[in-house]
Amino acid sequence: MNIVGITSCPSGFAHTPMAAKALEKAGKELGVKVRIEQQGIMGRVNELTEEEINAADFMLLVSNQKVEGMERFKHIPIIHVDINQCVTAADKVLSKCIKAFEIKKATNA
Amino acid sequence: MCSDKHVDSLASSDSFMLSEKSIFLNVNLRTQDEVFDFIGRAAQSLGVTSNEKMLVKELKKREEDLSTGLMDGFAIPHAKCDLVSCPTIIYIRAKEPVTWKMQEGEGAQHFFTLLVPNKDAGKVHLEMISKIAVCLLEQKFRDEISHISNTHDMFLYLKQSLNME
Repeated sequence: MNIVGITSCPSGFAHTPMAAKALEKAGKELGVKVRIEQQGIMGRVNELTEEEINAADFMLLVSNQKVEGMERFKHIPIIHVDINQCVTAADKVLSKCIKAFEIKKATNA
Repeated sequence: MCSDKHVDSLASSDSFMLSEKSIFLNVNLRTQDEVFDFIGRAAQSLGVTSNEKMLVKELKKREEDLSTGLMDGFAIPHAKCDLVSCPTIIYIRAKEPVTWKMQEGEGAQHFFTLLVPNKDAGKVHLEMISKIAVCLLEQKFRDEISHISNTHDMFLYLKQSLNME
């Protein structure tokens, strides 16, 4: 399973990198590939490549504000999650999203 | 990397504030407002802001946008604004936990205050600010911080965590 995402918070330097790192770490622990692009005060950090986006099963929108380049993900489901929850409970958030995605996939099949 | 020259004048944009003077242990703070007021005073005395009242307003606004309480009694009040002259890390430990909206647990006792100017502050310094935030994701880091009992050791540990020369 391949998951991509974008984190973006109001100030752009604390929750943004924290949520990104926490989600990527949780992905490793769950055995899924998670790649998160940060949109913060240093511009786009770890920008997602076309390959990564094309290979993605779904996208995590980890932000309550406008995020750049959302048109890149129009081919996959977008799951909107809370950035604060991703900072402190990334494993729970990720598990829930994966489960939701798999259920949806099964019901659509 | 850190400089005491901030004490008497407003820090310049190419400097970075983290020193023993920006570490406060065992502070008597009972409410969230008292925490923000203390941060304002500390920032003014460090030469990082020239308008502590407005900075306090800004911190409160940020807090409303997105709560800064995390877990294990750690919170990261922060702001990015013109009122801040250089990237700054202020660590404050309250005597007792303060009521604070947390993601996990109740109350905040460790306040990693992160202040960033609006103007260009240099990639390296901004990366250090983000780095300390990311350090807080680690249980080991939070445990170490909780057990350090003097400002000198705290400063050394933070400097080491940031890999500062």
